[in-house]
Amino acid sequence: MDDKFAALKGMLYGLADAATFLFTKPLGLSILVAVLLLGAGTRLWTVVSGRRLAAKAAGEEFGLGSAAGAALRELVSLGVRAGGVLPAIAGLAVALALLVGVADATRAVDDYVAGQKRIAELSATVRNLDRRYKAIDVSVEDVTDGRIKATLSFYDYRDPKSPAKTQGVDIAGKELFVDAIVCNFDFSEIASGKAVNLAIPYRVFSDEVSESQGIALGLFDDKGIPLMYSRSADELYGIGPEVYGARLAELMASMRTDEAARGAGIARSLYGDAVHREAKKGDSFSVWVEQTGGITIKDADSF
Amino acid sequence: MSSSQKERIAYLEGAASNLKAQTVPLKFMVLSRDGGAIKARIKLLDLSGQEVAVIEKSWPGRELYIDMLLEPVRTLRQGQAADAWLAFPYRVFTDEVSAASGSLLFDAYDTGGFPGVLEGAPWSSGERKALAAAFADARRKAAAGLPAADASKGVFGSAAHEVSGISSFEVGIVYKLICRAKGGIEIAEDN
Repeated sequence: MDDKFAALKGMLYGLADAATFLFTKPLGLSILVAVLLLGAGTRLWTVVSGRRLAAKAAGEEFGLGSAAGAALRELVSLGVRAGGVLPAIAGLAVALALLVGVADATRAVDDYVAGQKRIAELSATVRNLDRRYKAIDVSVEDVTDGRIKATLSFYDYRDPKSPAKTQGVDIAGKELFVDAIVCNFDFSEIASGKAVNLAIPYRVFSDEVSESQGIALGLFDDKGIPLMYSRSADELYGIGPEVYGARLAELMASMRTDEAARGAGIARSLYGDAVHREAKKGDSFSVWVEQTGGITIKDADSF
Repeated sequence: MSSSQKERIAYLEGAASNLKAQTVPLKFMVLSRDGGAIKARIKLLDLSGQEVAVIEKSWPGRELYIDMLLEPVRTLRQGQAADAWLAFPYRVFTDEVSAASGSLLFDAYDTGGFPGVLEGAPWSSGERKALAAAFADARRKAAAGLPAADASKGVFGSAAHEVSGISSFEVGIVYKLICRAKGGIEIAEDN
């Protein structure tokens, strides 16, 4: 039944698109006029040729004036016949307009249903991230001669027992900054008034090295998704792993531009947040994404 | 742990109850962006929303950073999760001005040794003393060019900022910096 309905819709959209193209687009109108002119020209040529042959058979002369007269008469005849079918043409125009209207209405319903489905999938995606989670573990190995040496560990939540990736940093300064893009979704359509906060840590800098000179973090997987947002199929609820991945990629893409995030109506605020702490040899701390909003630093043994 | 530290912690335990779920210690507006510099006006507010100080300054750069110092308030032993976080406006810097070279904000809201941004709540004299001590500690370190985000006390800094090409503070729009008592800061338009 669904297949038949889809086939019917395909035919409806095809006819509507063809009618819209032929009667409203310059190229379509040009093609229509060209076809009509070609048809009329062919008809005139046929009539004039027939008359010439008939005149030849009768041994009469068929000059330029006779040809022009025959063509003119045929043109008048064509006009009269066209006038006769005007009600049918008007009926066809009304039918085509109705067809286009029905197709547009059906498309609007399709778009609405697709939009609702997308919102439901985005909601399910965000619901699966609706808790606080650890983004990075930082271990300060050495602070000497005005330089900080630290190891950052990134976790993949499909297997959070051990770091999926680590990255060593060596940077001038006394204080380490972990910078992130933060997106708050509360009061938005997909979050249904609940606070939901996503963050993408992307850079490390220090009190002496400005952000523009900082070190990029490599905590993304091969699809550009931050590792800590990865979820195993068993962990996900209300959404399949493939749809979760696709919608998560959409959310991440929307976080990369304020205009896109706001345009999609999915973000309340988008900004950077660089959390930092004095670097001391042997110190360990974790960067957490809080669902109340923002990111925080906690001692590694606090939880 | 010294007796003075114990006393300070004991008083800070009470501080959590005076903090709302979220506070707005400052609002700001970018006034202009000319010649690779950002000019902004920052208003510091106390807990009741009263204006404490206004700072207007220009910094070289394209991204403005507003740095807060967040001090944990614990009712349990050290090492446990904080019950609340006290927020002190710390400094302003940019993507081109390093944090160490940024503009410190502590002096602007120093009201006789007490952090003016924490006025407006019914602190006891002991709590005021403890808060003033925490404030003085952060000021002293910052003035000496040391990080005020003291790792040994679980203090950390959080610098909210714009990100070029992604999110920027629009000229003429007032933004508020929201500090959550449970941790984390957020920037939102002040509607």
